[in-house]
Amino acid sequence: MSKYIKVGSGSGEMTWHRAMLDMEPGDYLLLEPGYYVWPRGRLLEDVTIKGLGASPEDTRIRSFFSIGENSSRVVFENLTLEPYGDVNTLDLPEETNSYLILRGCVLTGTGSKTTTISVNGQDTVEMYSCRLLNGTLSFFEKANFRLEMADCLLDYESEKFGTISLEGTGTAIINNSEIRGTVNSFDSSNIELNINNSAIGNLNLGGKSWVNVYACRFLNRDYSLYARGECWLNILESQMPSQLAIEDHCHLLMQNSQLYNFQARGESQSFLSNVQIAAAASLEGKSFMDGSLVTFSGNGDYPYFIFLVDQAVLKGRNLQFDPQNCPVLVDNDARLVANALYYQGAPLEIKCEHPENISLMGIKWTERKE
Amino acid sequence: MRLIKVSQDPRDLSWEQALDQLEDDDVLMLAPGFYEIPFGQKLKNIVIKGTGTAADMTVLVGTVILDGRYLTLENLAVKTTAIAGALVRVYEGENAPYLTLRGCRLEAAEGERGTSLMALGPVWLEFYSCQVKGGIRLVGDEEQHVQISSSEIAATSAAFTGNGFGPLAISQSQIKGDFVLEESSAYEGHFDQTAFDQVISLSEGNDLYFTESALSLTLKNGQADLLNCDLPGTTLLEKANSAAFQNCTFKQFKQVSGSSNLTNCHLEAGEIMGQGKAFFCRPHFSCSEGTWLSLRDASQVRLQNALLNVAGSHLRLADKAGILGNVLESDQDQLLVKQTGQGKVKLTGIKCKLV
Repeated sequence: MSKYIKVGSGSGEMTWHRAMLDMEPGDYLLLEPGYYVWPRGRLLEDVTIKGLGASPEDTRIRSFFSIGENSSRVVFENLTLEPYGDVNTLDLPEETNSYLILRGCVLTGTGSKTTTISVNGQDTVEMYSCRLLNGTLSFFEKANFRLEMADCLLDYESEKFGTISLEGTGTAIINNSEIRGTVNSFDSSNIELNINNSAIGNLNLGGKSWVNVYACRFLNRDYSLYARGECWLNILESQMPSQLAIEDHCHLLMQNSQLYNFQARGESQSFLSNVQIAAAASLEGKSFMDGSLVTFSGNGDYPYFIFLVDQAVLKGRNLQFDPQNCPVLVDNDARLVANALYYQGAPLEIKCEHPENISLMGIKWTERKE
Repeated sequence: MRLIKVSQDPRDLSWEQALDQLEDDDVLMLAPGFYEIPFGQKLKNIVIKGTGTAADMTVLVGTVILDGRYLTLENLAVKTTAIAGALVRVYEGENAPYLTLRGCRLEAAEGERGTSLMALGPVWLEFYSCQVKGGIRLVGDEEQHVQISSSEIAATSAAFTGNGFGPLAISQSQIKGDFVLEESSAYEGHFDQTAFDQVISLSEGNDLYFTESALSLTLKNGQADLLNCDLPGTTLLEKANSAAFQNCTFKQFKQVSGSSNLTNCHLEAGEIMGQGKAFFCRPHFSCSEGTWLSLRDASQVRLQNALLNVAGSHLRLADKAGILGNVLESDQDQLLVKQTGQGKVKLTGIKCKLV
């Protein structure tokens, strides 16, 4: 029979020390505002811990929290969780098979390679209205996970560590949140990632990552998305202020979106519809792009605003060109086959090795001589 | 995966041709326009995308029937012609099918008065950034996973009814119309930043968690846990359920039985009756007329560190109802108490004046 244990100094309330001795799996621990230290080595098993303050910062617990293998559900609510030192704040070891639910919590990390929430087991992590500050959320190689996140802020940006790392196998659903760093997946990953209506630093993807991005804003100015391996990307209604790069065998479907710079390599395939590319599009290797109502613009940041080399193919329908005095390069065996929407400007200048590889309807073009 | 373009362009397939040649995992890219779904046409294991700049530019007319492992609709509008709803699941496979809508508009034949979607049996239902006119009905006491985010569902009666079990996750959405979890249901619901007209739980199997949401709650049975919520209508708790409210604002709190815990809550008025047990920790009552707290039958209330701003109103006790606790601060020197029963009144920190 679960019981409610109220911890504080009022009448009918228990001391923290007594509560730690009395607590059993299934109990609810209600903490009056204050600062608490969770006993080292004490595992969390089927416990709900609530802070009774007006905000999560009113009730703080310091610990290295580790979830036990017998646990099926651990809930934190309206609390601030702090680590002891350079350790995980919350650890779900390999043998766990548990839900971890965080509602209205603040978690602080160490700002180092030590991950703040570390998941290695078969676990479901749910985070609602939480803030993760100066720390990271990592699902490791052995994990078989599900992540559900809504209305969260992950305020940590690092060039070395992903703010969210998705290794192993699982599904991550991120709604209405702001993640100021990188969301990573790895060569060994086999994941589904759905991001909806959120702001993301950038995505760095590998392995088998099936990714759906809807109505998102990317924040990083160096690159917005980089995908390798066998990723399958479906992006709608999103803005990328920097580069999108895909390679290997990645598939990209992109609709109604804007990006700064597009790069494809390897045998990647991309299908773009209603997309505006602001600075340059570059296709190398055996990459293939099929565009419909895609606007290719140049802005002088790159020597060519369309750059096709090797055996790359750009095929398109109803394309728009806005070169801003930048030329196109179609080199080696690359091909450009497209028709353009009404275009009023000067003819496109194309530097090419094999003019027969170019079929452009609806727009005049001239061969550029060096 | 095959990417199939569908349009009037002779280089592309026509809608009829595309439907004839469908294979698993195809992605249909529909040019803007109207597409009629032939009567009885089933759709399975495909993605259908509208390629317009807005969902309304590509319209599927008819009844979409999911009959496979999954169906994904993106950036398009669905206008149903069937009374039963726009999307009906009749899949009999091993795993529950996924129905995913991203950036879609879904409209019932009768608009907000109708049923926009009916799901039969187990299902994974995902709505991201969608607008739905007409109610959603999940039929069958089976496992149903529901994910609704950044969406709006509008219906004149029930916007959502379910009688199965499984997780419901709704975030940053608006549900106009009743959200009803029926008598045999057993859902675990996590609702974040969502505005509901009315949430009704009829089954004790429901565990509902709300954060930063606005709602009127009728908990005829089940458990609820609310954190940082606004409850502008009447909150009604019935039967032997337990409810926890923290940092919430109530207009009217009414408890017929069961137990409730309220911490740091603002209330205009409360009413506890039957066998109801309520524990108010640091409550703030703000009421200028009538009764700020009315207790009847065998109800028992405990106040801890209450803040009272109740000039012009009174505390009413009848039958065997009792109250004990302490008042931390009040705008009155003495508390007006109308007592018609024999229950115990033991409040420290303020004088009580019987009227």
